[in-house]
Amino acid sequence: MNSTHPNRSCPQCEQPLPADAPYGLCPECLMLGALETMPMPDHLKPSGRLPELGEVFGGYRIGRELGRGGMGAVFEAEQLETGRVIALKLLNHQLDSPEARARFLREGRLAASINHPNSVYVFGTEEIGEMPAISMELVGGGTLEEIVKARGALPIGEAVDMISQVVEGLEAAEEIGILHRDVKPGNCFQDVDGTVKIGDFGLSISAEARDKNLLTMDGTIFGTPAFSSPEQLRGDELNVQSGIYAVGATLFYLLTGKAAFGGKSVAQLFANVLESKSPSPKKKRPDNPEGLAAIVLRCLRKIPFGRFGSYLELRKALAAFKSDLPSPANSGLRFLAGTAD
Amino acid sequence: MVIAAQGNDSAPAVGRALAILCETYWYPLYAFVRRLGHSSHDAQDLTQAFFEKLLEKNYIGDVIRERGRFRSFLLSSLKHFLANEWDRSQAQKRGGGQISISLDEKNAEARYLLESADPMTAERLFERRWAMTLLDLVLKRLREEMSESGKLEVFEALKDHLMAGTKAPFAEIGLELGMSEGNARVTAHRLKKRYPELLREEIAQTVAEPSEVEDEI
Repeated sequence: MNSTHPNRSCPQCEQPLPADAPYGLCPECLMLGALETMPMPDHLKPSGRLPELGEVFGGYRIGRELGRGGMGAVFEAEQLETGRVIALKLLNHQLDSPEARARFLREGRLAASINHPNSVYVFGTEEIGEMPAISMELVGGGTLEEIVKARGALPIGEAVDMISQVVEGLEAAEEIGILHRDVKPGNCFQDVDGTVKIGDFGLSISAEARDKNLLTMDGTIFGTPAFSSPEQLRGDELNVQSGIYAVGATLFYLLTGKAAFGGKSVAQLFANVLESKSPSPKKKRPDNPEGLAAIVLRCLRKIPFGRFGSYLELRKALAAFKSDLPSPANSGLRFLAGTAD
Repeated sequence: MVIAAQGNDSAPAVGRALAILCETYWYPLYAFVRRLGHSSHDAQDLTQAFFEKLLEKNYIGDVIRERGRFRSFLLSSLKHFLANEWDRSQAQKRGGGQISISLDEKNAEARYLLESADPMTAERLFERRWAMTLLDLVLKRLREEMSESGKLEVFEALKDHLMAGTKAPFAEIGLELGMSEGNARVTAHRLKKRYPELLREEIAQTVAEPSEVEDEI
């Protein structure tokens, strides 16, 4: 085998040129040449640098960073006008058209209209400089993902209590036409008083416009494959049943400490969600009641109409497994009650 | 291409865009399969069968939208395919997919035989081939752009100066091109400015988010 151009080396780096060097030019020096004078086209520019601790940014003083992901970062921040401490989510993309800007602000107003104790309150959306920002209620107790990572699979009653609250929050959103497109343990927050809230409605889409993907940003799919329904992975239209699937996947995680579907690669994970039979949480954790495992499996059905018909129906089914159910009196108490009668 | 096609959320549009991407970047995958030890004939069959399976499965577009780079997604999918999915009979029956892609199979082996005999891993070879394909594509586009505006000879005279660290003799080049030294300098600057723009545009076709372009470079 001959790997290099006969008798030729790069005049810059003096390394032998590969035989199929593009246009006879040294690939390494070409790549370095691109970096030398790399002006970034406007439409690819990130919206700007993220603020630092203590910095006044727009109408906020920035506090500690709470998290960072592909979409941007979330900071604790003090709203200067009111003194209120909030969570400020900064998205790392510019809104590059008046339509995108209007859409972002419209979604913010929509999300702000959800007012429910089991939903993280969205105060509003705005642009700070050119950076899209969402101000939200600060929830202090961490996400359910963090809780499971710290404690492992949760007691059954506690897991059901938590997911039931998530369902209530989703139900309230659905009533005013908002679908949450990214229900997962990392988007469920526990407050310091133990209340569980569904959050990150900033990435949601109104049910009214669910067939218009562009309502969110630039065709980027939102969602997390391990918790997303098959129809979401396929890019099909989403509805309440898609949320019910994600609730089932989240409950599976709370009950077992593991995601229902996994894979060695993204492709394998996709294939499993799309094609593999849903595993029963009972297999991973034998003390899971049969009835509860059946609820999870119904949520995880591949065909949307095989799942629960509504959040209300799901919530009613879960009620039998909540921790605050009055337990039947033991036989001694029943005897005493009978005697008193 | 893929990102734009996703905007209208049309499966056929995404499929076509993917087919074009596959045609563009198929050789790095072929080289990967060959480096794993498959024969030329098997590598051609495997590469073709892999693409057809991907396009048929119809979930590749979702994966790209989900985030992550097309390059690493293709490689991990190919590994998965080689380990778990492919069987010879399937490959022989290929051709049933709705989207067909054409791979330059004749030249594949000729190109592969020029590959380095260094004990480079199949993954490293794939990465190098991907980068080379990308650069080739960008230079081709740049050449076409210049040609369309009647400046092909300018491209030919100045292309060497796209490499890092080159110092162009603008007076000499100006003379050759029939322009002043100042004009040659401005033209070279424009070419050198356009080149990384095109590179970014091409990379942007294969990543899900603009912020990933930097990382990919």
